[in-house]
Amino acid sequence: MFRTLVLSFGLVLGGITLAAPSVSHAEEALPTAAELLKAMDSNLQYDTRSSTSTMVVDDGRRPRTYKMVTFGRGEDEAAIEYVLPEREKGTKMLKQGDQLWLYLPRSERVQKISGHMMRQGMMGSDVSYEDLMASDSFEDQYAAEVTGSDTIEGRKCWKLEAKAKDDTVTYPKRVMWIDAETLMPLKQELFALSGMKMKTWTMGDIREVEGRQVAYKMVISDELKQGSHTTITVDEVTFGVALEDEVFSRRWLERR
Amino acid sequence: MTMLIRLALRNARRNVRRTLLTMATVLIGTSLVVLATAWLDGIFGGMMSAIAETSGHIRLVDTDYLEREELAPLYENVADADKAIAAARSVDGVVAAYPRILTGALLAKGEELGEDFGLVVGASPEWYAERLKGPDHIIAGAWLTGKKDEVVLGRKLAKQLDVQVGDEVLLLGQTQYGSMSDLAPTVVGVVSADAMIDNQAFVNLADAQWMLDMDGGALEVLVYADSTDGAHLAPIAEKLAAHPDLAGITPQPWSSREPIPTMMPMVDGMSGFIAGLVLFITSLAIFNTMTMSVMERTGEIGVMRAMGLSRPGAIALFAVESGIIGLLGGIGGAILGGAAGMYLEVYGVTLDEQLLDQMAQTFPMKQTFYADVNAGNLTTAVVLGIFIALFGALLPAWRAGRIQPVTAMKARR
Repeated sequence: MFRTLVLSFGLVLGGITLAAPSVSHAEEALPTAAELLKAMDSNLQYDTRSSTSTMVVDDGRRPRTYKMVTFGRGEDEAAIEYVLPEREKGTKMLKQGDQLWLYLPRSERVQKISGHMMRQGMMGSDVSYEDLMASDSFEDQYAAEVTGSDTIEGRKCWKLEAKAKDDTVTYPKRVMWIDAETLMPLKQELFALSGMKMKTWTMGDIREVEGRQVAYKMVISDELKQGSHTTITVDEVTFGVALEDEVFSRRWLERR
Repeated sequence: MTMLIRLALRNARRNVRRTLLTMATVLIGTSLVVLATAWLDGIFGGMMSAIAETSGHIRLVDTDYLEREELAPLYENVADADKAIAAARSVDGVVAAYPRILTGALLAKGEELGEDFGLVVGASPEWYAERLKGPDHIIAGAWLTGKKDEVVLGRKLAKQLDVQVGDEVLLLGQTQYGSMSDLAPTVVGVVSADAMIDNQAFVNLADAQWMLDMDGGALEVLVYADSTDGAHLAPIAEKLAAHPDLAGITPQPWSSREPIPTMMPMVDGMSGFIAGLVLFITSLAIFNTMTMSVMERTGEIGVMRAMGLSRPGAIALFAVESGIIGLLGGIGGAILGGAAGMYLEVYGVTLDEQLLDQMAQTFPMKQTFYADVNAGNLTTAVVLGIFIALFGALLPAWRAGRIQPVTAMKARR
């Protein structure tokens, strides 16, 4: 699911090229779930991207602000470097396929994240490392149905209920509100197998960048962290940038 | 009364074998009670002392932290530990106060991170030496010297991570604000003392403060008095609560901290259950002996009743007889149980290391369990012996009291 989220850290919330006029202009007839999933998946496809973004983690007590530079190439490669605050400066993360690596500048150590840590919030945020790693397409992971229409932030949305096709998917069920015009998922509720709501994820400030729709603001709330939410805003995003292979290597991680 | 005792002794001597057998039953029962209570006193008493010593006789924590301790809200801390320590030390009865930090962290020796979790303890050298007595329990290397980036690992944690003295390990925790925070200290020693210590990692206070981004702060201030007795600590806790420099901080005596309030009724319940079981089984033996005695002496009791022995007198006759058996059995039980307990007090029973590793890490459980024989459990044995005997003799004695002289004498013919 969180391929979109990965992209946001890759800091590309890729827009939809919107080659589905029959869907975007549909006022009465509901689109099919397959059409919506396919449109969302195609929105997330790109060659390379780079961006800078700001993440504010607000646990209801003292908000913390992080600045990040991110790079992405295809579905399986992403790199994040924290540039602020000073204490976290130089911390890097690298996604290589199904592996997630972390560089800790104080210790000068590269660690592979696994096990229990995958479920922890990245930098104490509402976004887990597991969320970062999800990269399979919606279409491959979920069987969905359109259950109706609704309005989110004044925009007409299709409501989609998706159930995971197998038990390896992080969130077995999700309910999505997909903008009828841009086909961006403006809101998602993510559920555990027990039916408990785990996270709520909203997207806003949708802008068109190089022919894509990009959400410049995302708010993620981990329902298990009472009163906590994380806001990610994109400061700048560029698609199709030239990126050296080194960016997605462990050598980049250790480079100071 | 003298006559009753004389008669009771005579009756006891009539069937020596039966009397000795009954006495042996009381003796075994009471000795088991002595041994069991001494064993429980030893295990749990030792554990209580260790808890009081390592978690402070009274600990000072932020009031909000206390309310949500299970969530470990690191930001609810004692921000100015030195000020809190000075305030605590100004209170009469306080002999020492130390800052301490406890926080969870992921630990790794190699590249993989995420499977091994441990509790990181950051404290002053004085607390480590005087209260934890860490330096006394080092099994490899040495204790912390106070230099930056040092760690002493508990035995089990070191084994789990497969590290040796001199290796570098990563401790990945978080700051009080929730950001990721790492230390990469060198293992300078391995310590083994109990199930809790064996699962912890010990670092210098400054390193722990850095890790939590808590410069000059502590999660708790551990306060020590000259006694761990609750009645002694209560007024000290009250004075600490009223201290103007400790506003927003709650003093918590060790005995009110979990798991003590939960554990104590459990221990008392176990002791009560053991004593009750022994009481029941042993009193059955007494009941059997006294019933036989009453049946055998029905005619004799009838004659005595005809000669003027009152009903209470007949009851008292059997009660005194069983009381004497109980007293002698109880004394024997105290001696036997006390001797076995003393042996365990000196040598103890050592558990297999693997078994200890599987035990709860939240208790300072040691690998060797020692008993604690004291005047309390020896006295209990003697009193219990008499009580068992009287309890077992209750019904037979009552029956003896109800014997009618005429009926008894007819039966005798």
